[in-house]
Amino acid sequence: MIRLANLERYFEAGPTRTYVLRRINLEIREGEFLTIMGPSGAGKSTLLSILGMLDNSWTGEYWFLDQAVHQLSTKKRIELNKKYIGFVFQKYHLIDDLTVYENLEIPLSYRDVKPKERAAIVAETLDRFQIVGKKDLYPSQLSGGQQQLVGVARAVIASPKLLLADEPTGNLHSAQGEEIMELFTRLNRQGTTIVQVTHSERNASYGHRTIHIHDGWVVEPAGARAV
Amino acid sequence: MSDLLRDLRYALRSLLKSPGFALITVVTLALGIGANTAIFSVVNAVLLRPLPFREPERLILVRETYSGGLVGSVSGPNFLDWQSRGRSFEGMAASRGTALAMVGEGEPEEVRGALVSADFFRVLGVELLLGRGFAAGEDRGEPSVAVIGERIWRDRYGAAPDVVGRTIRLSGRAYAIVGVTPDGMNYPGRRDVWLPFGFGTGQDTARGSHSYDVLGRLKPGVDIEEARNDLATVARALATEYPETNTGRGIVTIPLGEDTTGPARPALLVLSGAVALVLLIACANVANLFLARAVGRQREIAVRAALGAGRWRLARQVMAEAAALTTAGCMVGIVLAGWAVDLLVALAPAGIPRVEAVGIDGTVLAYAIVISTIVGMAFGVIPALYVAGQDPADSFRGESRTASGSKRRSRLRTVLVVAQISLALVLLVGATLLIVTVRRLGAVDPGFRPEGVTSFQLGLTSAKRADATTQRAFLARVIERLEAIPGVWHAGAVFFLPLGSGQVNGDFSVEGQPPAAPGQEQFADYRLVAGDYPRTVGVSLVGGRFLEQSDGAGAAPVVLVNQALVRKYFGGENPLGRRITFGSPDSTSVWREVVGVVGDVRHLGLTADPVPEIYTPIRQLAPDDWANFAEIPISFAVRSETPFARLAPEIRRAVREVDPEQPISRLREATELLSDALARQRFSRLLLVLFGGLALTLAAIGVYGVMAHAVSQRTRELGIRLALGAHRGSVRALVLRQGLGIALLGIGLGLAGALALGRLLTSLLYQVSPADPLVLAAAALTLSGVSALACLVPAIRATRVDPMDALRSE
Repeated sequence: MIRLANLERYFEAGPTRTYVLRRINLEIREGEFLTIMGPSGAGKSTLLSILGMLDNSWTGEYWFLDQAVHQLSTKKRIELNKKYIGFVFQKYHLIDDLTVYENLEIPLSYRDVKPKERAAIVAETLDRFQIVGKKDLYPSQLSGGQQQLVGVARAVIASPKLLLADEPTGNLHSAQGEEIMELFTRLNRQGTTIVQVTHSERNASYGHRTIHIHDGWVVEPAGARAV
Repeated sequence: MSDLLRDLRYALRSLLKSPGFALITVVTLALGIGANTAIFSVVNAVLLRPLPFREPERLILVRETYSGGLVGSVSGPNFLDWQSRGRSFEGMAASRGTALAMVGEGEPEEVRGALVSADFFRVLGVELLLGRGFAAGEDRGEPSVAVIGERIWRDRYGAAPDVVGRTIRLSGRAYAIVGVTPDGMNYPGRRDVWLPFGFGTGQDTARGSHSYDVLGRLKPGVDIEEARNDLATVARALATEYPETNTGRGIVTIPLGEDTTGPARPALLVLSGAVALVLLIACANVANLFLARAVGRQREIAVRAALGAGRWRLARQVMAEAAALTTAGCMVGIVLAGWAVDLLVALAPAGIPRVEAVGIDGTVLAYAIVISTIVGMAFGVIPALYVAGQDPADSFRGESRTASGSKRRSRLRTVLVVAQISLALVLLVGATLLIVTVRRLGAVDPGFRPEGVTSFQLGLTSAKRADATTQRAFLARVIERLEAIPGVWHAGAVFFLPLGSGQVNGDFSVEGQPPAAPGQEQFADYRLVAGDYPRTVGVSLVGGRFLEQSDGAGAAPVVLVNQALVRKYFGGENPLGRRITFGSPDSTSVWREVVGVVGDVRHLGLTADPVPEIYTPIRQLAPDDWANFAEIPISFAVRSETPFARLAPEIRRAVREVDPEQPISRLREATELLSDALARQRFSRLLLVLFGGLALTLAAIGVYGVMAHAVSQRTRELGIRLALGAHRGSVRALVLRQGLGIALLGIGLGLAGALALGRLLTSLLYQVSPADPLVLAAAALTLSGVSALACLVPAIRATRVDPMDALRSE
């Protein structure tokens, strides 16, 4: 599904070039549940942003579903993001001014799904995540776990092929965290490819494979369970 | 469409959650849009709305020019010759203002009338509400018909549909009403009644007597240049045929629209420019507020991008907020404009044409909506572009790596504030120039002392007073009666009081000097006076004596001359005892001895240089000369120790005793002449000071916003400096320096702008140059001071940064 070849990301400050990612070569197969680990500042989240087409300032090759992303315009990359990718954030990042229903509706509206169809999908998702009763509440009226549940629901509502999760349980207590990880496992079984960034060995254990990044380098290539 | 509505709904909800931001933005926009809409409503009514006549662009005024390029009224015979010989005109009409007395219940009322030639209404192209204009021949002989204005028709006749055919009594004469003109028919000036001329009954046959306003309607396809050449040819022919009166006489043509709106145009254009600057400053302020808000919403924007929002969708969300705020700002602005228009009309100086038509109508509403749309785009686009151009990944990363975005944003905000300051400075310079102008005008010596003087106006002609003898007897009796009022020191009368209410002029000759060649005559303003006028208004006596009671009809003819005349025509020599005569000397000339020299009075306005003047007692005018002036309302002046409130009823009683049917108009304190003369500049000054103040406030808010933001961005740096032992005073100075640096950049650009735009103000200024260094310095200092104040709060806040907190936050 994804192939990165010699991918690099750096920042320039005057004559100095600071590398965040160095010569990343990585392959992620469709249906895989990949974990990225590493210390803070290692480049994990940057790698996730690049995979999610949110960061366009990198060099090297990025192949996504056989398309050469490195040759695509920003607009085309946004199209790929819209079509295939969902995001889950550590801090949930629900939009405060919107209700649960409206937060779920947002990705569909960006994909130009017709209002009727959109309503049906949101209703189905609310039901699937058992949050029908919360649909008219604002994020501030939900607990952290509930917010992340909505965050995941929002990430998968447009049926992405790839789900990118940045420390999805980082702000949750352990029981809530486990619920979310179980949810990821179920989604993965249903065919969604998942890439998560985490500091937690326990969360990593839900995945098939873990890579470690240190100072921008992948230091421990794939060593993992079968898909 | 539903997405757009949803964007709007979300925008509204989001704004309701930030009521402070929404309120400041709406108020800022409302002030900008309101000020623009209010000024536009005036511009629209005064300058843009076409005159209420058929094809008004074909209407031109024709005036005569004479010695030294002076422009004046037209003589009756010249008008008739132009009318018959001119080939460029579909029609030509003449008119002349007059004052008439209308007697009904209560006080007699003076109505402003016009005497017009028969085809006046046809040439003007005005559609009458009822009836007809004048028929050919009705302007010959004694007039017997009248066209009345809508105001009289409604007030006096209750808008009776059968008013045509009824009789109206004016100044003791009966006229059959033949038509009613609509309101807004303001030519020549505001009038209530139009009467046909009595050609052939008075001095209109004298080619040397110039008292008509002439209006022409160009033939289709003929332009003003062709018309000018055509009439110039006629004028040259007349000069050959009548060398005595027409040598050196030329013509000048002015589009009617330009003549009507011309005097108000410069001030209105300046004010339009001023409000446009205010609006630009408001836009910059709101754009700045939006940018600041975008910082708080960086994460949300990044999340939306991560969820698949394209750049256009992100920008659209910001634009939706801009649209919602602009709509609210527009609505509040229109309400404010409604109030402001009432205030503007109330404060507007006399002489702004069509000011009664100023109001919020469809055109003004459309203008408000159009500028609001432009404004919405202007201030919405900048933050929208910023948001759309943001790299969402930046927002998900730590603070340390967002420095570039933050710098870009700060730079943008700084640019906006620099623009605000420079625009505010342009306005401040304008306001200061007008403050100086009004101050200097206030210090101008008008040449008379209006304090303690009361003035009013009367029409002299009526059925009871049809000839010079009765008219002058009436004038003398009124003055006598005024002088008898207890507390009155002096009383007198004159045609046209000082400071621009009108003038009578003509040529004159000095005994012993060679007669001037035709076209090279010496011109002076004639001050035809009765009673003790010069003493009453406080004209100073420089030499000789004033006019006395003894200078009557049978006594030796005498005149007073002013210093300007002595300088110009006597080369500074003592003119006392010399004799002059009006016109060119011949065997019938009346020679008048100069018995006194008086100080110069600024008759044509405070800013106009005094002109040569001759004061002549009305009692010593020959009846034929008098006939030229009898139609002109005469102004009385009364100097008294009695306060105006107590004197006014006494004056009314005195006039009523002489003629119970005589209306009095313009009864007021003469000091109002001075305040009227200053009114135009005072009005412009008031508005420019208001707009300048608004601009200053908005600019100060802008500086404050940027500096507050800069301090919050530099919290860590300031914390480190303090931790390293920096003195709090030096931290404060650091922030102030940064703020003042921005202000000085804006001031520098603003000075350049003020110098470039200052010349547009020239026509409103008096004795001050648009590039006056003191004015520029004062405006720059004011703005620097206000900017320093705006920086002070963030600077003080900077000194209160707790080093430990600042460093921990990282």
